[in-house]
Amino acid sequence: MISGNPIDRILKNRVGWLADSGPDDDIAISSRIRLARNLAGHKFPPCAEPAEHSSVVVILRDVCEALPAFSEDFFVRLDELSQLDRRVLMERRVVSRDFVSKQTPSALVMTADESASVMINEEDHMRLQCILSGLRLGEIWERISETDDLLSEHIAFAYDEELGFLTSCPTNIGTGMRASVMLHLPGLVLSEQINQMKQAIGKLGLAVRGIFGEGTDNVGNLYQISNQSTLGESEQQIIEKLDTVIKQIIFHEKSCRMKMLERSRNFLMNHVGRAYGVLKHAYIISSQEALNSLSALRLGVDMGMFSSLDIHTVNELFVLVQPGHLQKNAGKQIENATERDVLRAALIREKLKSVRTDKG
Amino acid sequence: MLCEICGKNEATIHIQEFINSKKKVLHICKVCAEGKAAAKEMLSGIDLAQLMLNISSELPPGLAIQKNESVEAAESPPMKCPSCGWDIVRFTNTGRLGCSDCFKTFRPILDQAIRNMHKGCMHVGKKPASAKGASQDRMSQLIALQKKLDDHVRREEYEKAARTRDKIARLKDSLKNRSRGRKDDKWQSD
Repeated sequence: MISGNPIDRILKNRVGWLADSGPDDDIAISSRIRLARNLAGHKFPPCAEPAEHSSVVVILRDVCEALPAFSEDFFVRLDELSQLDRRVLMERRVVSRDFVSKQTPSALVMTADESASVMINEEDHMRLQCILSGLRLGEIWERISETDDLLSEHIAFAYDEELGFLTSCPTNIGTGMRASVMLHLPGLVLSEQINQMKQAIGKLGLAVRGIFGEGTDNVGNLYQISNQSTLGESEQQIIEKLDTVIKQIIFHEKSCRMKMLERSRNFLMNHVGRAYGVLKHAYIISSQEALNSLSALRLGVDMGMFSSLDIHTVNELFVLVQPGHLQKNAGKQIENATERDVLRAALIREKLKSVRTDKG
Repeated sequence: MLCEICGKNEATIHIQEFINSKKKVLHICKVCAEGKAAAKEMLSGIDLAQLMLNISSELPPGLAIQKNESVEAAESPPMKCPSCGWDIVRFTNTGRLGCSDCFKTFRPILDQAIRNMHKGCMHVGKKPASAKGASQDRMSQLIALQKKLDDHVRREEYEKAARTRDKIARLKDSLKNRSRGRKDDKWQSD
């Protein structure tokens, strides 16, 4: 196990879940599974005193250190990280929004490639997560379940025969598993079918959220679909159902795009072309405008309008244009939003410097 | 019964709260309930209440009947977990529990909420290494019964559903007694 601040090192890496290829990654950008686990005989984090928080961190660090599977992983105490570093981790989806603002003793174990991490003392003692590009929940489940097995041989988890794994919020009991897939759905949004789709997904007992937190439903046409229920179905059942629904959504998204291309080609080309113009030539651009324009550009790349642009470069820009990454890469805190907007525009222009539109 | 807030619509949602250890039951209609949830006054921080409202319209008929009954808690306060000291006020304010034993302490109000938020009320997923091999037969029996109950409810065969439910309750009791004994041993050795 490697101690210390991993941020500077990971910043040099590409974000795996955005930059790597994966099945169906033209629409399903990434898949993620997280497991909530608590130690038997210990109060859950919302109830525990600081001393107990600290002892849980020590117990779990010792366990992870003893396991060969974690030998290459980073261990970092949250209080060793600046707010900016925490924000960078959140933007890369290594940690949750709630974890970033923790004041109580908490820690993080993460792999160097950021694909797997364990948040210690978030809402539960352990939140294990694994995130990979494309639609591959089955593969992620195998990987995370193996880690979970390994840990459960060394730690007694809070568990009940009837209610399964016990978690501080009753919405997570049972499997303690939340599986989610991030989808890029500009076709459904542009053809105004997204609300219908959201309702249908809701009726199937799945949740649909924007990916940048509460109220960011429409930003970047990115949606996260996840299971709501965690009790009464096995992990495999939950994953299979989610997988089936996601494949249906992908099918609908593709047919929406095809129909628009057939029936309203100019509308579609105009949408992409304008966004490309803004991204290529703007000198001041807000986070929201950048994300929405990047969504249109991504659609254009998918439809073969920009052969000189790799879709994963666009994917990565979704993270790089966010405030934490902009400031970290600039090497300083920038409180002024307009100053950040200028930096953001410059970054995008630089990344798109060599890109040309294809004729047609 | 009419809604206690607007007095116009039929009250279909029944929320029970404990304020300063005093029990209060509120009977309201869906429109007012949504307004309340949005205002975040009465329901501030109660994810459970919000969840119940969200799914109230999506339950199958059998469960919807149960939902129209008032959410009855067992005895009135003090409802406080003997193991960690977490009380009902903190539970309703945060929607979070304090420790494993809170699930027993708050069971009367949790049962209904769990039924509303999850597909079933019995864990059927993976087990930790410490629990493997225990109670396997009874567990699979219980899972089969649970599925049978769901089928009865779906077909609106309420008498059969009631008989299956009683069987499940008996089996759960016997399982609980066994797991309690085993768990106590484990915690002592830890």
